[in-house]
Amino acid sequence: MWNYIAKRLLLILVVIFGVTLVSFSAMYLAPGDPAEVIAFARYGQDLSAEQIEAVREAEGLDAPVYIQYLNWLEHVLHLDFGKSVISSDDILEEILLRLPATAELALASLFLSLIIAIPAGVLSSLKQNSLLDNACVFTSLLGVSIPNFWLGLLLIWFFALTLRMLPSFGYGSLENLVLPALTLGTSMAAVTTRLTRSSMLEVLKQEYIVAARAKGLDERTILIRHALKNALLPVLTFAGMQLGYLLGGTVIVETIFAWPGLGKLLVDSIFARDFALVQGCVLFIAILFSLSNLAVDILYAVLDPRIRYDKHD
Amino acid sequence: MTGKRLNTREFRKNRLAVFGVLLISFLAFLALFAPFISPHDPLEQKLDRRLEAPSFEYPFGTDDLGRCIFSRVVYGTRVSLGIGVLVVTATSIAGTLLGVLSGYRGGMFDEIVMRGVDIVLAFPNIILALVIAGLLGSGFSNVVLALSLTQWPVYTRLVRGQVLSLKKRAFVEAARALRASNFYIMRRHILPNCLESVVVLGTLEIAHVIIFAAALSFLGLGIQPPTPEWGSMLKAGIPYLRSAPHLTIFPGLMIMLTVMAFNFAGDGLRECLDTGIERDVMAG
Repeated sequence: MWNYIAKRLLLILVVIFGVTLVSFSAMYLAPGDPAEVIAFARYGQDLSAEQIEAVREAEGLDAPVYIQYLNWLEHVLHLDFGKSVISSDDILEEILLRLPATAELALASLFLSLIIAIPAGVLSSLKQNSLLDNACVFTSLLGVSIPNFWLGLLLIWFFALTLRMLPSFGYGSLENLVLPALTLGTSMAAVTTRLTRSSMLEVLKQEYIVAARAKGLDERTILIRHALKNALLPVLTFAGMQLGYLLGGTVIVETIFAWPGLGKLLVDSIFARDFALVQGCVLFIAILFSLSNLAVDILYAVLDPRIRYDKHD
Repeated sequence: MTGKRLNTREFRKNRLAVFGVLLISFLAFLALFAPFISPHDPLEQKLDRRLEAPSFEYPFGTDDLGRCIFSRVVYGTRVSLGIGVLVVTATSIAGTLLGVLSGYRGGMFDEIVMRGVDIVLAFPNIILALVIAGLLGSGFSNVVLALSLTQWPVYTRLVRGQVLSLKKRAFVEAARALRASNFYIMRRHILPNCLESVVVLGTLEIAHVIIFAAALSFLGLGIQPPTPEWGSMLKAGIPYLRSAPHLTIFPGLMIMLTVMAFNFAGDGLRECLDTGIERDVMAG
């Protein structure tokens, strides 16, 4: 067990190192000279050669690329993500400022998806092949196919513009949270419903369920104490791994609803060609995602002793 | 159907799959014959006919520049299916080959490839594609490039896992005992046995890629107007959501139908392969 955890930790270090490389090279994807692009973003169209050179020097862009990377890495290791090349705000500060909004949206969506998916999946599995089951399966198939940016627009159209019940953008109150969380949560619920259903079906076939029935336990106890408890383990693990989906999904949903989170920060920084901010955001999101996956894996290993530790994948 | 014990559940699943395949054929038809199907030029602007509701002349109405939304939606199938097919072809071939080599050879090569996979997959969902496409600059080829660079690891991981278990099977041992070369074993024994799952994954991946591409365009980092593309059409419709919702409804509906078609087909394939029905047909 400890071996397994140690190995995972070692691997994640390698991966994070790779992630820093990828994040750093983002800057060199953009066509043109980075110094010129930054100067352009800062001072606008009418640039002098001196301004560009000044930027090059100030941002350390005159050094060879690998030196730039090592410099950047050294700062990142000291938790210094640098400053936005446009607004000169501290990047890590900005990210941490935006994080609560994203976390709030992600958790609300996760919660919403679970309270839709678990009852739906369980009911569906208990009445397998019934009309209700078919409806659930079909709805969840439909749900995975609806792009969340479209769903978000439809929700705005219906609830905000037509019924005028809820605000279409903004941040702060519970009312503002409803539509974004619904957008993100329902598409997630579609996947989770299917998983709950198949997990329940799997568990209900097990011998200990037959044994429990043979003992004469009442159906309620069997379902809740024996079936649901075991069936929910993969569902909750999956929910944990959905953080990645949520972090990705928030990019789009936050943009639609003008939600001041990490995803919107990333999109805005891409548009602004604020390279340092893009690097910081991407790195932060990837590390957050990697660590949360690691936590889920370890938690799973602890919760389910049947898991084998000798293989990492 | 060759299965004799087709129960209702499998039947229903297959019916959805059949529906998916029909829908895909229909979309391919739209893409191929777009010039004959569209009643108008998708780029032609008629500024005196802006934001018209659906009518006989304009089945899906007109957009903010007086262009025919129906024609734009029809032409949009070319872009979306094109991106989907291109990206999935490129990534499934590259990803599968890497997976076979990695799983079969093992050792340092495997270690390096798998860490590469881990690194790309450490960026959740659309994030990496967003950054690549966003910084490279918008346009068809950059969207294809961004999605290709980020989608290959799914195949590599799947195929490698299968190769690891195939490697230990008796027929591979037998081939090795007969002194078959590694290349021969990989080509004749390993690769064909992985293809089924690659086909299933590839079908589902087309759905993913199409959503991702539309999302990039929706954010303004993918295909740009005036090219008729569903995601960018949605973006253009936002300011008119209240007064002219048809700008938003129809392109979104098309994305959903397309994604659904590939999801149904892929799901049906998986279902068939799980139950062992029509194994030979699926591999082809």
